Amino acid sequence: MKEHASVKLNKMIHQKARLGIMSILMAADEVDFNYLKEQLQLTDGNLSTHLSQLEAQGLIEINKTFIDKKPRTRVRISERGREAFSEYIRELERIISEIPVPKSEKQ
Amino acid sequence: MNEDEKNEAMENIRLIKDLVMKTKTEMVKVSSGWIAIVWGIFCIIGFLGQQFLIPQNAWSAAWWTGLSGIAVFATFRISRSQMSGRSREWIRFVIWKFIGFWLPLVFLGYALVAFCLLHPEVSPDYISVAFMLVISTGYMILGTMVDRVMLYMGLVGFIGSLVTAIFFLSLSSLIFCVLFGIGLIVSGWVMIVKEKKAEGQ
Repeated sequence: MKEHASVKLNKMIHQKARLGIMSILMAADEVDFNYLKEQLQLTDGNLSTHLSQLEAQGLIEINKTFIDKKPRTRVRISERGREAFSEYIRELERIISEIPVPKSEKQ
Repeated sequence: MNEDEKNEAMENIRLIKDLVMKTKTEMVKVSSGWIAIVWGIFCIIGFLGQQFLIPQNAWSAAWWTGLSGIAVFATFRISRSQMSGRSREWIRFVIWKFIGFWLPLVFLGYALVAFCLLHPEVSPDYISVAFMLVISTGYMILGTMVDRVMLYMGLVGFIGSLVTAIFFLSLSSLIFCVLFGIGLIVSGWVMIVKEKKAEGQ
């Protein structure tokens, strides 16, 4: 059976919402929960679920504090997350380069 | 491997690029509010000093240079505190973005000042006008990329500088003190409030 090209892609990062979270964290290192929610248009529950999954894999770190008696959640990318994301991008680039451009697009 | 996989990979790369660029622009905005306040205070002290304390042009140059040094140092400290704990690549990106944007404009400002000084028939009051036009242009460009508040500040500054140059040149220090000093402080304050609101949503 022919191997699927994306089989080597990190499934944890490949999902769209988690890919968005990781992309933002790669650029900013650390952001607020509300910032992610706003940028990715996700609900509190949905975002929390994705963050918990990424945290469980050690790709991000979640820090919960209180500022002026209000809860504040900060999300940070871990070193492992950074490496996994870089690897994921390399894999995407490999897929793009290995599949030839169809003749109709070359012209 | 098939075409669909390639398209999906390309789509993901595009999504990553868009989000990274958008996030970086947003992050540059974070420290801009406090920086605007620092430069607003710089304008107020600078122009008031020029109007009431510094009668000679030679001292005027030393006054502005000294003040600029303090403001640059304060800007650096604010940026550092906002960036504490961030990666080296991120800090490098923000610093180069900041330097890469303002440095050419500052050179343009100095070139115009040199032009004013080389022509004795031109009133030294035009030095402030030239510099303020350059700074306003910088704010207008930044406003289109970062925050609309900066765009409005730049527009008000640009039109205000032209009106001052044409009608109220002798009062330029006082007008610029109000226009840029208070204008920058208000813009900075609005940006900080907006940022805090976004964080608390």
